[in-house]
Amino acid sequence: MSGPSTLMVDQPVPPVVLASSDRAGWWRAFARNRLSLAALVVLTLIVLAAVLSPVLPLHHPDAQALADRLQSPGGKYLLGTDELGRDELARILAATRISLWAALQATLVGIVLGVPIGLVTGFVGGRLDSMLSRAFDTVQSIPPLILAIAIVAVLGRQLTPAMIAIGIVFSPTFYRVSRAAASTVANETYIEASRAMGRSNPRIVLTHVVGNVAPALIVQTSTTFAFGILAEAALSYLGLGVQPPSASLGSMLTSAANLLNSSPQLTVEPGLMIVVLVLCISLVSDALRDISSGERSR
Amino acid sequence: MRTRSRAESGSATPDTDLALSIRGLEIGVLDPAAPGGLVPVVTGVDLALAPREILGLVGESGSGKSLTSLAVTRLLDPRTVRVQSGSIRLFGRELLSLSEPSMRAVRGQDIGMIFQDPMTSLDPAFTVGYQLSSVLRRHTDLRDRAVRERALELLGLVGLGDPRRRIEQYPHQLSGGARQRVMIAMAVACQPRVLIADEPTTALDATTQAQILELLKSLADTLDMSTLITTHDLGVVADVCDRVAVMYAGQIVEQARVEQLFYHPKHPYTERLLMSLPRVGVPPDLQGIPGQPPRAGTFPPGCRFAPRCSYVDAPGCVVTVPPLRPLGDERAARCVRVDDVHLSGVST
Repeated sequence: MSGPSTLMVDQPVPPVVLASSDRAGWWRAFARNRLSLAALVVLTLIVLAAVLSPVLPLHHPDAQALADRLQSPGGKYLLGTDELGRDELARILAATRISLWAALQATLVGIVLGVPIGLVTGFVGGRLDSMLSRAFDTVQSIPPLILAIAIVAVLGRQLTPAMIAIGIVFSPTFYRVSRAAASTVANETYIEASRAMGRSNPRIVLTHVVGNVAPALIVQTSTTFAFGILAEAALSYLGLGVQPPSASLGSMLTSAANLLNSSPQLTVEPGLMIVVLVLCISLVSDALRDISSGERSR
Repeated sequence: MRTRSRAESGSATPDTDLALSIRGLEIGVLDPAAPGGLVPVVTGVDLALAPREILGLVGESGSGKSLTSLAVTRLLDPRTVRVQSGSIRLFGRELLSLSEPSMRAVRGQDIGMIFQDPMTSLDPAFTVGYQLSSVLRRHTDLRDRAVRERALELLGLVGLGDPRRRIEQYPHQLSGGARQRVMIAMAVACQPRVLIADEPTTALDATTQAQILELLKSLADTLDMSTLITTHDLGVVADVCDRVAVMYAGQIVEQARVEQLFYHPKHPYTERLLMSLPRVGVPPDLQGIPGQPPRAGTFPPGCRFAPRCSYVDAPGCVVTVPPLRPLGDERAARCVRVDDVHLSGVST
């Protein structure tokens, strides 16, 4: 713009400060909790390593070197080799990659099924709400692994349908969280105020309800993700998930269990990975929960 | 400068001169136990709001004043409340028969509304600027930079200092008064012709209250806007209103210009309300009104104030509901003894 504006107020205009930007505030609150920050760092490293494992300078996870069977950790193979001489490190990273993807599938299915319906019924209430709530209660009464096993029995041994089945059983939790939050928000005056400004119900749900429900959902998502990893491990441990030669954390445990006496490290390594993953995700989700509840109780 | 076309004013009805005209409004609350399934809570309310006028709708809790104001924007919860009959016209245009999408276009555009509690009427999850801009985007063609400019301008209009900082802030970073100013900015963002303020100052402290009322008064002037304020506080009425309508048990019992109502009330309920006002310099012997207002569904057959009125005499008081009698000079009172009892107002 050229020339001094005649509309300028005589007092100097301070530079626009984004001091209280939402994102910056979250980060500061998060960083204050050292433990969860450490967990986030570890989690990020694991995820990066797993996602990038195909391009990292590692042995192929399925490549057998029968001469190097059951090597101890250290030396040529950092984490040793398994009973077919496959590089344990490469296998664990490949397995983690599959586990993360499987957990993500289950979580996404849960979100897609549970959240939109929960937001709508929580906001609208009435008969629709009680009907759908009972329906989701019914779904929740199904044990996730049993449903997954049944699906596998019908569709064959594949991981994706099994994880989708688990996601379906996860969906009631998402439904409940979003329904409860939406029904609280629905009675707030700012919803009525928003109506008085001429906004339609779908728009109100998309902005005000989603905006206020998001913190609760982020926490629920991270918790569910951890459950997803455990569920995948359990399925593959039972031989119903990933099929050989591909590795998943659960299937690695199964084959290692036979060698527990001679090569215990083969059980410990994938087991440790499961524990660390789930623990880190839980710590991060705890921190997220603390931040979001702290922000509400201003 | 008003940019809106007044195309619909072509349909000539007697109400086109009035900003807002409410006639025979009947509102019932759903109750399966009641005869007909509805308990009447607002019965036969008539109100007229002239352009640029500030009308106070006074009554105690449960008198039906908030329901009446919500009915104008058709924001009553259809699950619990029904408008049974009546007519609400905005410059002659019937609102009760509009489709929901047309009504949404009226809300925020032609009728602005502000609420009692500024602490909860702004969404805590979004900045002031976001919420204000979304109203502008909904009802105007302004986009991007122009929206921001207009938002800053509006915040200045409602007297918020340092709009550039305010626009980035979240509601919890603002005081109650500042939030109510933001609410007002949102309500007047599209230069509505009618502003409905439902107990706008009840949740604010006395100093802030006076500032907000002053703001409403000046906005009515600068924006060429009519204002309907509901309140239970006669002090608010005395501060800003041109005219007052007093509601009791779902009916309007008296209408008058402010000075007339305060100095020469014509309905015993108004007199008792004035007697229960605290006054500066007078020993605090406030006189409450004996008894309780009747609950909806248990209205007495005659005058609804009769059980608590000290002037009950004529059989007309308890047998049939007295009509709202016009007394000339823009006044009306719902009392059969309006000619033979002398009521005292506020002494000067």
